[in-house]
Amino acid sequence: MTAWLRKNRWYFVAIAVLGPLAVLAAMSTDWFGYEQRVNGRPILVAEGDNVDFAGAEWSLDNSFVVSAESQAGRSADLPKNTELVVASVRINPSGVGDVSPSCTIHLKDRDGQRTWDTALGIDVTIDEGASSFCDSTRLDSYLLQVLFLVPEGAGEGSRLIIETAEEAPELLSIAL
Amino acid sequence: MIRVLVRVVIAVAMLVLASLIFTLAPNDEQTQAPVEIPISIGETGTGRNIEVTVHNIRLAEVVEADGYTPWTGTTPGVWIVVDATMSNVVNSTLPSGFLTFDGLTYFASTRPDSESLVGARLTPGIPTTGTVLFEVPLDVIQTSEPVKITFAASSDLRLDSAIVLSERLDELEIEPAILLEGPETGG
Repeated sequence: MTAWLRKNRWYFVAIAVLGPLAVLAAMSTDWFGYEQRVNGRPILVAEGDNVDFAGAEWSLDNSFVVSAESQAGRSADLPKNTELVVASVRINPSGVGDVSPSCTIHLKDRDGQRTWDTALGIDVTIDEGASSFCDSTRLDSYLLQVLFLVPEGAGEGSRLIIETAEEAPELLSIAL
Repeated sequence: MIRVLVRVVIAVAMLVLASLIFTLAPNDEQTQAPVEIPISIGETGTGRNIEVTVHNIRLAEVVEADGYTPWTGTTPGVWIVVDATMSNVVNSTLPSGFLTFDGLTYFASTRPDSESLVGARLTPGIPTTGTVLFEVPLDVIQTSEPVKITFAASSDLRLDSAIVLSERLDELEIEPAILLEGPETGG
């Protein structure tokens, strides 16, 4: 038996090395696909940056946080222990093809662990002429203004995530 | 001859072992089953994307809502009214709830529309308090067997977690009517 093992030892070594390698190689394509679906490929946008993305120029106009305890927060009837993140993004469509990009918008916290959808039913007046969604009919430059209700303190260091079907898995990650 | 016999025995043993492994290996339903987190009343359970505290369970012949969508719910059976607080952990979802008893599944009623907690969109880190209703036949509450109430972040429980409460209901009194308070966010 020992002689048989010695005779075939290199085959066993090959199986021990190539087996796990084959499994890793087979799973790696799924892993990269999964990782990209979950996190996308973010294009990081800092304050003051203008970025070309999905047939438009995007830049952060301004952002601020309204605490539930503030006068504005009480007027808006924000729930206890929450705050409202307000972000305004200037979208300047390039005019190519007479379309303006449609998009989905989220807010991620500083660690990228939690994601919030835009808030509905919040009694806050947005800027005149601003849109609360990516308006594919607007071919001129316009302001996108979105609201997010988050737990108290979560707005600090958060990032606005803008995705379009055409550019996926690339997405805009705008620092607020 | 002995060497041949040994080889046959080894081959048979390997076939038996292979069929045993094949029989015992979990199927798709088992490998994708949610991780169940048991709680009792008053206790908070936290899963991958849902956190639930059940405060109380009540029974009623009629439930009424006088909020945004006024509604009176009558039933030939009985209403199980679960007072709970829920929130998401990582991203916003519409939660789901169902009750299982004696091999049957009763999904949380959608009859109260937005007055039910399962009709409310949850938010990560911000608790929402309200009620979840189950409309069930009387025999569900007339047995000493506990019913199993499950809450999850969405209706797709595969490879996710679920918060599970097992509770006997036969000792609860049936109230003639219960007025629902719509979901309230924050706290």
